[in-house]
Amino acid sequence: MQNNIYMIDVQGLEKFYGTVRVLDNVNLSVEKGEKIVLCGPSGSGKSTLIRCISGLEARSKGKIRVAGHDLETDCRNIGDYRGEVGMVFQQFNLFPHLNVLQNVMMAPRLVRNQEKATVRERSMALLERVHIANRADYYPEQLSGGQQQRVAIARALCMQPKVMLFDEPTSALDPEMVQEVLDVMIALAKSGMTMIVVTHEMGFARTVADRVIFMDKGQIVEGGTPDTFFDYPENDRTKEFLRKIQHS
Amino acid sequence: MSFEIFLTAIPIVLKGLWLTLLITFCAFLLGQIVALPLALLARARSRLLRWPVKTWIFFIRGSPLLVQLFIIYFGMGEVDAIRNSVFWPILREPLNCAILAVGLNSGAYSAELLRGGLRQIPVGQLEAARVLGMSGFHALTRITLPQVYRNVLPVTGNEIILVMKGSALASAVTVMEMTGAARAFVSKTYAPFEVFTVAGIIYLVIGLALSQLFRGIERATAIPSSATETS
Ligand SMILES: Nc1ncnc2c1ncn2[C@@H]1O[C@H](COP(=O)(O)OP(=O)(O)O)[C@@H](O)[C@H]1O
Ligand SMILES: [Mg+2]
Repeated sequence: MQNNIYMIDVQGLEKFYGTVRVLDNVNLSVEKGEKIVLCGPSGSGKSTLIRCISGLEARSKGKIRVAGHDLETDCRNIGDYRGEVGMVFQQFNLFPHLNVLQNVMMAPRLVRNQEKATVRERSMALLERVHIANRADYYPEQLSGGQQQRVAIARALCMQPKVMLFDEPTSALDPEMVQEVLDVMIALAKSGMTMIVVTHEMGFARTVADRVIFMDKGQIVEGGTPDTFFDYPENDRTKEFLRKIQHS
Repeated sequence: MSFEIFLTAIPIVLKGLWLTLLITFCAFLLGQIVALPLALLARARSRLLRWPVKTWIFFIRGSPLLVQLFIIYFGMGEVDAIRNSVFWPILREPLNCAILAVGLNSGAYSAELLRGGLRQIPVGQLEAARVLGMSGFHALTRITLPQVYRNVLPVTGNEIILVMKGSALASAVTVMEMTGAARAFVSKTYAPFEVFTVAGIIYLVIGLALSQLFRGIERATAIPSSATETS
């Protein structure tokens, strides 16, 4: 760890699906506590990139190091992360047969073997933090999308991750539920969490991001602080993308 | 048709009830035990693991249960390795042959049910489990199987009734379960209509009881949804 100051370090990442190159020499270094917003057109490789970082997707080439763990090319050692790399999905992916509290408590109990009372206390505190403690005994199907996504965030946080990755966490939500999830993420960002967030919520990007990075066709095209990125984009592809999302 | 024979047939057929229940229960249990490994292997990534299992399931589902029972009952004694094994005293018993045949048969069908159920679990849940650090074993036992078994519960209730009906074939290898008892009584009274009607009604009652049981389990294990508010 000492000779690597980055919390997330991606070097020369390449990923093929068959003969299609979906990630092309991606380099991304994220410092501890840094917040990155990743944007770009659909199919540009954003999901693939953070799925590679989270260890869900094997890659063809390149180095990935997260929270001091070198991830092997085929992700065989994803177990080394032991939940230290939290991930929040577009589709929530809660466990439908478990209630909210059980969803949050399960992994720390099984993976870390932590004491039940300790985990329960931490889980309830996290559910408070995402404003859903009063639904601790509800089942996912009984919750709205926004509530489910906040539970999913609490579930990831209960593993006390060093890094949180978000893949379009508000894209599957009804518009009126987007803000409640973003508010939770903003609070998390303020607490100093290292985050990579794939989103097109530009308000969120301006509030939270240290850097906004634009991807297209598997490449990182450009990146910068929110102000420079949104107000003075350099690349034509970036300009076109920004024009499109601001008109929608 | 004689009402008197009807009444005397009841206790005679009921003498086979215990064996019918025993075969049904043991064969169903055996089937459930072999079904899970079969279903998991049938979904294995390696073709070397998948192929033998699929062939086995194909043969069992593609041939009559009675033929399978005869193969086990008459055929196993011909194999020296089996006849000389410590299991021979157990496998020699017609009752055990029947349980084995019906159980293995049910196992193949149940494996297909489980395989369908396994396919229904969204991959996203398993990915969530993986990034949470959970092992494949924990994902299987804590996430996948509790949902799969819930989902296949209704068809498993059908399966146990099929097993009960299959248990009647045991009479073909001298086991005096209900059908066997009925046949023996018919050869004495020459009143097949009354005797087999009694047997049929008792099978029906057992079937009803089993499906009620499974419906009860279904209700007890149902996942609360928005339609059924928790208190
Ligand atoms: N499992 C897969 N098999 C083949 N191609 C895939 C698969 N997943 C994604 N792709 C392709 O990879 C490219 C990048 O996809 P993705 O990372 O999902 O983009 P984004 O998240 O930016 O919309 C797309 O062209 C997509 O079609
Ligand atoms: Mg995506």
